[in-house]
Amino acid sequence: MTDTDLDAVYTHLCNTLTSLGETNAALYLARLSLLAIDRLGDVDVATTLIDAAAVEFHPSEH
Amino acid sequence: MSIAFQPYPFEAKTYAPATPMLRDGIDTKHHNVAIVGGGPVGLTLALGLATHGIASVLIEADASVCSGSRAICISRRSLEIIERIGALDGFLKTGLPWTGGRSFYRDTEVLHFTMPQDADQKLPPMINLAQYHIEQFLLDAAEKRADLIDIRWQTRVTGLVARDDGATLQCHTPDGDYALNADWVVACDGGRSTIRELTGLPLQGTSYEGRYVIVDIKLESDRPTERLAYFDPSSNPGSTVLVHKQPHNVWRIDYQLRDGEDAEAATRPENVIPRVKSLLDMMGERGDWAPIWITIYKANALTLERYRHGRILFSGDAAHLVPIFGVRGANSGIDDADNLAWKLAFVIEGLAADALLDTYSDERVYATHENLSYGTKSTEFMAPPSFAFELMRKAVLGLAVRHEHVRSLINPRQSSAISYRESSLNVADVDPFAAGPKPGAVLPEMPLTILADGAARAGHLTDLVKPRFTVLYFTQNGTVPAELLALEVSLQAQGLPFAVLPVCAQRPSAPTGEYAWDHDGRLFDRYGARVGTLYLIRPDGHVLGRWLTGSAASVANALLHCLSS
Repeated sequence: MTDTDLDAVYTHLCNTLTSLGETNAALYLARLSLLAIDRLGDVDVATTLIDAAAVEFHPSEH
Repeated sequence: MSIAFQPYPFEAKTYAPATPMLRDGIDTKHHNVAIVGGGPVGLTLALGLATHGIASVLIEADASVCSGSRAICISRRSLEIIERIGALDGFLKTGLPWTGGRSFYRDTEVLHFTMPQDADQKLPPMINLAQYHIEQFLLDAAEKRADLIDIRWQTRVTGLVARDDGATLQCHTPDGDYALNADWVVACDGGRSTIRELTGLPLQGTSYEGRYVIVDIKLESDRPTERLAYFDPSSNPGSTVLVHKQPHNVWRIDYQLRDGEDAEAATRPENVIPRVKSLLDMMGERGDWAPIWITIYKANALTLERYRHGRILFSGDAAHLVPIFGVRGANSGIDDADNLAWKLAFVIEGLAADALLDTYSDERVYATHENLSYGTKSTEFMAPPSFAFELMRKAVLGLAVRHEHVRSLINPRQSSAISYRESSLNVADVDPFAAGPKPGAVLPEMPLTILADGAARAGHLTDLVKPRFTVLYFTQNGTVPAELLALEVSLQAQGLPFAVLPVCAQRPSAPTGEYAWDHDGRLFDRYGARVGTLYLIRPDGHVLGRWLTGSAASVANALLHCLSS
């Protein structure tokens, strides 16, 4: 994926999330994660990603 | 708490208004071009027209160059344009060159980006200097062309009547009002353009909610010149802060207001000073400092639908408003002026059909959409317009240290030259070039040796771009086909600014004439050229067409297509 492609995908995700609203955000992202894991199709890769996303996770303080 | 502001380290000369010779309240002078607005864009246009021998009257409402914190970043492409119009020296002497920037999330650096820079370049990717300097150096060059550039200070346009063959401007000065007739009027009068208001043309697009406080301070610091962006720093939690160094110890700090913060309260010195102090402490800046200027900024992504309306043309912020993130505002305005200058000159000289000016609008509206697509990405990151953008940004910033592939999302996507990929002027490639700039693109910079009447000097490819159409003819030792030389003679005899410039693989031995020599052999490869290859370049340095084996007929046809309706 080129930087331009990543930009486009990222923006599409942000706009989709915006239209669903803040209260639906967590559920939407959970659904997206499941779809992505399924598409990855590799248990090791999926497990690594699940762990990586938890490393240095900063919950909101402000 | 008493806060002592310091003035900018710059004294602007003030100019008196001058009423021209009038008959029945009308300026007796006939004007080809009236440029409304003497800022960076108006001055660049006046200078560009002057390089083509076209006179203009430049109408400026103020008594001097600007003050305050406005454009501060001038890109390489803009510097190329400024060099061509004869104003570069001051920019390079005073401006601070820089090549990259760093972004921080809380206390961790998450991105270090660099702009394209290598040993082949003549000019730095970006320089920082205040807009009063930008205007001053352009003005210095304009005053040297007083034969062609007539500047009317303290003159404000209050009325406009447009006709099929020109326009009449109503001008107000402290010494009285008068009318002025011009064949062409170019609005370079900024974001709150009077001309745009008078014509009632609407801007279309988006205005962003996010607001930034802009503070210029005086600060002694040895910190290097680079763009610094802080996301959620400990000094301003929940905010985004940008820091830019400028010449003469002026530093610009931009920080984001939270949603719901009152703008008026936010710009009061007693509310600004503590935030700045907190930032400087975090950055480890211990020098004495003082505020100079405080203002508030809101990003816009707006444009007119078309930049030509009969005899009225629009350039710069009068035509479009782009977000500051990515620094495409002044830079795109300067690019507008460069695109317009040669086209307007050619039409006025009778060398091109009127329709050439429609391509100014087509190409520059396209450029605005390109600039906006990058600018909005940058803005959506710097000033997230919804909870979703804010949430995703937090994810990007948190992941960036360990996962380099998300870092491109933090990149501000700094201003870069636009390729007019879809321009109707382009001659589409028919030959299979393996490399080199496509039709509509600007010329990649390369060092070369320039020989003039036997004397050699080190130079660069962009040195060959002049106020004319240029054929770069790739040759072994300087020999140019007779038909091309005949075309050059014929076109010049018709008054068309045109030259054939041999680009030689071997050092040419001719005692007279001008040649470029690819002394290290890389230029041919970079341009996908072999002996006989030909690039036809516009006066603004964009490629009009290219052929692996060029002919005089292809060049003549390309020019005919470009200049006739």
